Amino acid sequence: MKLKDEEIVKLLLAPPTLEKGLRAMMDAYQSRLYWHIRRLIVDHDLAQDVLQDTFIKAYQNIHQFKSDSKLYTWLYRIGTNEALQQLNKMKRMKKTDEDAEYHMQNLVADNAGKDAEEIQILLQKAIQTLPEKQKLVFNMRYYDDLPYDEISKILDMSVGTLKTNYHYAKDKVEQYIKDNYSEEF
Amino acid sequence: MKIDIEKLNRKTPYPEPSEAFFKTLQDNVIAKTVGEKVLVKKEAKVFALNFKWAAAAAVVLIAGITAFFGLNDSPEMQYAQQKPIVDSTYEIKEPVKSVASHSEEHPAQIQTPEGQTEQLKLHQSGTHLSTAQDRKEEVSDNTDRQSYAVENSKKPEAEVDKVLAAFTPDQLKDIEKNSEQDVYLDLYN
Repeated sequence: MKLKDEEIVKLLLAPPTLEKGLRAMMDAYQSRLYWHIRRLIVDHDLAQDVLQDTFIKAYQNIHQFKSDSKLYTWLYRIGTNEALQQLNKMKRMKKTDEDAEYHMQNLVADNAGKDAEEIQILLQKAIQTLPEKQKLVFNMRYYDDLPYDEISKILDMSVGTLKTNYHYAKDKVEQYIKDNYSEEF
Repeated sequence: MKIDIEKLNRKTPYPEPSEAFFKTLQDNVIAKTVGEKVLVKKEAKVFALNFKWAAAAAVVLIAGITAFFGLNDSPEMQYAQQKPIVDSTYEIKEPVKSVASHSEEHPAQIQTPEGQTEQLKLHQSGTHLSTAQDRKEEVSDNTDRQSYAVENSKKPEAEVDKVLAAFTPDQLKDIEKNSEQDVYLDLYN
């Protein structure tokens, strides 16, 4: 039985029901958060570490959670920040941004499943060429199907800016696929 | 060719994680959050050491060790601790006479009827007298040695004078003529 956000928060705030609350929170959001982080970081093991850290930070800062926002919005925010920190670490290991982009595209190819469609792989490679903000907006809107006002709360950006970012991101991705589709297939 | 991504299947190319993956993840999170709290209670109390105090303690320790081992080995300290070097050939040993020997000698010298009382007095102030007498004997010993040395140096000269007096001037002239100068003669003068 799935618990509502308010019930999960209540369990988390009471020490005797802390573990139950944690498990309920993870049951409710682990899959969605995992895919959100995985699409940004690509590597499965790193995504696992980041997801773990996300839940630990949520547990540590549960007293700061304000009930006027949704729990998953808050968790998305923590997860996004953790994933961006991990991405910056990975970028620092590369000499240039081009090297980092190339590395991420290779990671996409290496981590793709055997039954993955070629267009899906190309789409993921195209997303890795996007600037950070456009990447975040595109993933949340395209894959998670989050409404703009929720994305606005997660990323602290206006809805107008988000729409513009998504529009630019979509154009770039389509152009990338168009350019590379004929070469690869 | 026109590509519209909105019409594509919105699936990611990565394989789905197993059910065990999420279970392991949950266990890890519980262990690092709720589980860790229990562990902290069991752990021994850890004292947070301020960096300043740690550095100060290290400096004192190093200084202490240096002072203990380093100063004793320095040549200045070794030289200062050495006893004065005395050449044994020139060392003058002072004559040692026990208080008992003094006390034995003095009663024999005093033969008066009041001797016994004087003897008692001497015994009572034995230590004071003995020190004074020791000093006197030291002085007398030193003068004896000097006079003995002077006498010894004079004896061969007197003997030579006696021998020479036995000869007549002519005999002395003959001896002077016949004798060769002894290169080691100066050693005996």
